[in-house]
Amino acid sequence: MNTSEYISSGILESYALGLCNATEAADVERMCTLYPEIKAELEDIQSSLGGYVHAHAVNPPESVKASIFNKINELEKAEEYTTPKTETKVIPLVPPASNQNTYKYFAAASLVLLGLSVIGNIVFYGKWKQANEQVIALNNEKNVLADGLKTNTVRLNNMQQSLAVMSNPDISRVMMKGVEKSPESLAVIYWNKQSKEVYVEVKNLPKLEDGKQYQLWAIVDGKPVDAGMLPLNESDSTMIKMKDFESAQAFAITIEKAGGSPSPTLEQMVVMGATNG
Amino acid sequence: MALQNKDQAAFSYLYDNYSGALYGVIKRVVEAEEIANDVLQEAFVKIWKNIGGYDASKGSIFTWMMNICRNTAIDEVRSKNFKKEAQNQNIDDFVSIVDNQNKVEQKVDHIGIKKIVQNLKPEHRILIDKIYFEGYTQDEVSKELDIPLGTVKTRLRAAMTHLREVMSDIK
Repeated sequence: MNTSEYISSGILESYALGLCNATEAADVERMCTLYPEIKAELEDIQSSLGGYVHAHAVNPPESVKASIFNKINELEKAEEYTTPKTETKVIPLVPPASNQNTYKYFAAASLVLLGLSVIGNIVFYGKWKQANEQVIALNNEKNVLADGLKTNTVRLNNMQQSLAVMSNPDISRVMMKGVEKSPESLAVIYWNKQSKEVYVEVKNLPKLEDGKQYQLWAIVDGKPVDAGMLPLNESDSTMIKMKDFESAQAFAITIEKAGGSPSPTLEQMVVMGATNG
Repeated sequence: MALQNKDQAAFSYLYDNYSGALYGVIKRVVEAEEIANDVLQEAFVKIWKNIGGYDASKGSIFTWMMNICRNTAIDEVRSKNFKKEAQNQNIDDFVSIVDNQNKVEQKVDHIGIKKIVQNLKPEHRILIDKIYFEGYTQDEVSKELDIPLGTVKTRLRAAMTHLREVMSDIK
């Protein structure tokens, strides 16, 4: 259908008179945007009808205009106090405020949660560190106690051994007393002549300088024989097993170089005691 | 646009220019002056409220305003059962309407209603008035005037052609 056929179809007159249904009206409006000549034709029809209406104009009473403006002013005032209720639908360019608010709430909530999480992490890190330090401290304490227990166990074993040695009826005791230059010094020999076992118990010996060590000697047939080295740092009264001897006239301890000497340095003798057989 | 910003001075201008024509349409539908005044006020308040929704690409502002006035008037009539009375009008009543119009034309003589009346056949005028002023459908007019629907359609086409000729002469 060309434009002149469309114009002569009478649809434009129907549209101008308000006789078209919605579909027809939309079609006319579409044709008007596409074809200027159709639009011009429609405008001419509308203008004719408008002129016809104007020819029938009746001036309304003066009072009507005033009452209309009063009504409008009332509406304007009402709008200032209440939410404007426009009858035309307003489509916002931005998403509805409620959505934005929702996002804002989510953002704020996540920031708060993040903040709480950071604070929580700091607090728990502090507590964890504290707990870790406590664990380390307790572990050290435990080690100390374990060391102590070990020491005490060793000491107990030594003492039991000593007790066993001392309570043996075959044991003879040889007191080694301090020589002139160290009269306070004292050590005791426990000697089982049956089993030939020799033990020494240091009661009191001077503290040695570095590089020196006490050495026990047995005097057998007038000659000193090496009976073993006393352990370094073994100052407590523990019984130490030395070399076995079947017979000896005396026992003595000298200060020798660490590791011991083949023959005693007599002037460094600290204690000495004679046996009774 | 000033009107869409609800500028009262512009609205006043609209009223001054179009209220007469619109009031003429309203009076054709409701007749009683007091009710016509109320309808005019109601229609102008609607225009004020909805001016933001006016789309200039779909027609002149007068056409838009006239549709609001006519629909408000028709709603008024229907809500108050005026329709029944209107339907009871016989063809003779239209003579009185035409007579009323003759009174109107004395007030508004600048467009030349005499020339229109002289040049338009009464049966054409009645069709245009019923349909355009009062919002009748062609079917309703056919029943009202007891004219076959086909005749109504043919006659309306002729009326429109004639009207345009007359109006272009006046211009």
